[in-house]
Amino acid sequence: MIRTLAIAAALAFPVAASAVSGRAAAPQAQANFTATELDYAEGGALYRNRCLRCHGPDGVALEGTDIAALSTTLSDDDLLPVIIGGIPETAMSPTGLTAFEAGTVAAYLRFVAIDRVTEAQGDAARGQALVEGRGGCLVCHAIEVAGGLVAPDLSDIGSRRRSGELRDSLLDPNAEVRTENRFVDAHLTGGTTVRGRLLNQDSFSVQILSMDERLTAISKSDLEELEFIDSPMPSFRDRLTPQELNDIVRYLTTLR
Amino acid sequence: MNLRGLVFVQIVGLAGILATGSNLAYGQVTSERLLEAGQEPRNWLTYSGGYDSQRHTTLTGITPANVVDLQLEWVYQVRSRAGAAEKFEATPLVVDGVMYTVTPPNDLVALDALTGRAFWIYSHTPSQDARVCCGRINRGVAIHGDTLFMGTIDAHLLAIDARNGRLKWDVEVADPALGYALTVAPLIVKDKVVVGPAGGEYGIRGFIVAYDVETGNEEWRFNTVPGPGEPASETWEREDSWRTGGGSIWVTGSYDPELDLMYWGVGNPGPDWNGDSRPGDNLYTDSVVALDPDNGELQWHYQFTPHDEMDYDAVQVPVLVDMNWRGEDRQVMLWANRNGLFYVFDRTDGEFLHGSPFVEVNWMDGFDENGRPNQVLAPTEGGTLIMPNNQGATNWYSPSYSPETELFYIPSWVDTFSVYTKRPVEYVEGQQFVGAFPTMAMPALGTQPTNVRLPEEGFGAIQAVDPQTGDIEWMFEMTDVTDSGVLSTASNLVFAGGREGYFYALDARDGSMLWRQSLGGQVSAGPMSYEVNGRQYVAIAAGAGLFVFALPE
Repeated sequence: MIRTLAIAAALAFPVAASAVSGRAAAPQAQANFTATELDYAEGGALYRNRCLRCHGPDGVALEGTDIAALSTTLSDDDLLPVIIGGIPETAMSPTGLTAFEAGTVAAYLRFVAIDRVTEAQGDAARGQALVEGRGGCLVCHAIEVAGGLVAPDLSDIGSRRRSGELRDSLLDPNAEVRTENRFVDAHLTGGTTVRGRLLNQDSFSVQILSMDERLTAISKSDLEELEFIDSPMPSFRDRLTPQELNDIVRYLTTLR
Repeated sequence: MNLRGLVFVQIVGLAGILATGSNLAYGQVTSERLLEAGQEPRNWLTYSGGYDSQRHTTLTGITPANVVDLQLEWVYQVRSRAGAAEKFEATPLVVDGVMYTVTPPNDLVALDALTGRAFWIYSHTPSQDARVCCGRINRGVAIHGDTLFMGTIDAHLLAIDARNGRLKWDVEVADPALGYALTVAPLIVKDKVVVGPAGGEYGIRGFIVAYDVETGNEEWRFNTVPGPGEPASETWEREDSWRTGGGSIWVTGSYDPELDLMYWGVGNPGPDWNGDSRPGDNLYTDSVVALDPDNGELQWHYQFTPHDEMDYDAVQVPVLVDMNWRGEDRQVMLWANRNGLFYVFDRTDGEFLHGSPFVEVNWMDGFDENGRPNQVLAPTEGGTLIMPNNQGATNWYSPSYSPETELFYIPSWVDTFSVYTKRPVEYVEGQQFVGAFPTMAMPALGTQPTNVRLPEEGFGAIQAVDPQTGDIEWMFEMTDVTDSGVLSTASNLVFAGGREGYFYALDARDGSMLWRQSLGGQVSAGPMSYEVNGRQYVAIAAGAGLFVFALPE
């Protein structure tokens, strides 16, 4: 589960202008910064609790101070003391976080910065046209009232997934399937098979939304085998150009 | 209907007077009655149904042959909106037709055991200072004479008149703002009421304390984490680590009147998942302690998980059994621990007789001759996959022993794992003092309808273990895990439930399912049984309700 972020690579993209306030430093590409998903999640939770009120959800709420971009230009040695101890004679008061906690906040900010760079490459309007048209996404997914039901609803996907996760899912849908989004083949004792998304299960029954969008309950006494199958979603790796991929990701992040 | 209810109560009352056969007022629970609780199976007088804590009833009205006809008699719903959102973990007491239970957070209610209608409710509003790791939980009350004893989530112990629900006395056991809380059902031994505080996730220093049942005066205190100068203080090698050493008490102990020894399981050391600041074995955390009930002096102890960094606790009900164990009549104690191991001890002196895993265990690979585990895995900075998981192979869920089948029944989480990651942790008064929370799959009925449990994350079960060998004689499997206790009956039934909201009757001999009922809410309590007017009832809390079943009249 170790996720390695190549900060240097991220900085190859044009970071949003005026990224660094006041005591701006030239981007110093660090070597690989290593953070786990757990760190990221913890950092995100800490950020929302402790930082968001002033810095906003994207780290740019204070004019001239883009802390997400800043995080990619500073080493931990420079950044963590600020997160922990604040900046004297400013509204940035000490947080009292431990060094480890501050490190997770820094990791979170760097994820935000990288997501922002990739998002900036996309055009939401073009992405919407692709999702609703040639991409065929609404055959299975719903956005508001339009679309299919059997795949996860995307109406607020932008508030639930970072753009990096959306990109990964489009390229390799089976790399990580959330447990609530698993598809199964329910092989019945009579020889038939019901395919669909698993909604619920217990010791005696399973509940499925079948591919023809029917809520279907099956008693385990009628079940030969419950087989978890690959996601029916195709990979868009060879179906979309890199620009089209950016456009779709950009559009999906606007769904909130 | 009201008139009918009154008639019932009067009949019950008369039956109670006749049955006690003494000059005692109806409903009086003397120390003698508690000692002989097994002689009056129509009542359920202690948390585990008797001092031996076998959670076994000799009532035989409900049998494997007729249990298929078991039906719902009544339901008592948690009344307060806030309480309904909490876990309902209490085991009721029943005394001469009156049931006493606690709905979350601290509402003590007296019910007609026949109909579920309330006689009175005593509602304690906990202080805003109360802080709890795992919900505003209460596991039930104790009774002595006419007095009920309830611990509160803000660390008070209350004595309440069983006849009218009036407060008799109220003592603050510890400071709730520091994380001390009482969730345990108290234990009455002779003229003392014994409790201890939860709070192992807040850097408390645990203890077991006895109060005079009449006055509420503190009679003695046993520190589960010894301070400087006390025996075993050398197991806290770093200065001051004992001050925040944990050693909580949150599951009721047992008592052997013949040996005059009381047994309690002690909780985890603090901080939970990083022991670097507390080098040493950290006694008496994760231990069973045998105490003299008259003065609280330690007679013997055994530590299940020395220097625990997996939050394995030792918070099980000690089950006391007199049996022929491998050819010798012995007074043993059976114990299935959260750490995945099943133990047999000689409870006279604590001799370690047997230890063997009842689920997949990888943190240890054997015992030395004294029963000390050979630990091979612990949390690391990079993360260590350890089995069983943080919630454990079992937990506070009451096991049961049946003298009929001579089997020990364990509510189990089978073949689970957590990744434990060691992270820095600092003590701040009143805040959690734990470290990095381990990974863990924790589905269950909750706000979401979806059970997303993965098969590879393990499963729940009721396991029947042969105490002679540790072998699992049978296993009843569930898709989700279980927080239910187990009740066994002399008619060879086993009652238990699970997180899926089912309540089951199993055949105690082979684990086959004979009856089940969906209760629509997670079972996080132990079942119990009682009798009124010659008819047997089985009660279980699930979701925000207490459900009572009986055969058709």
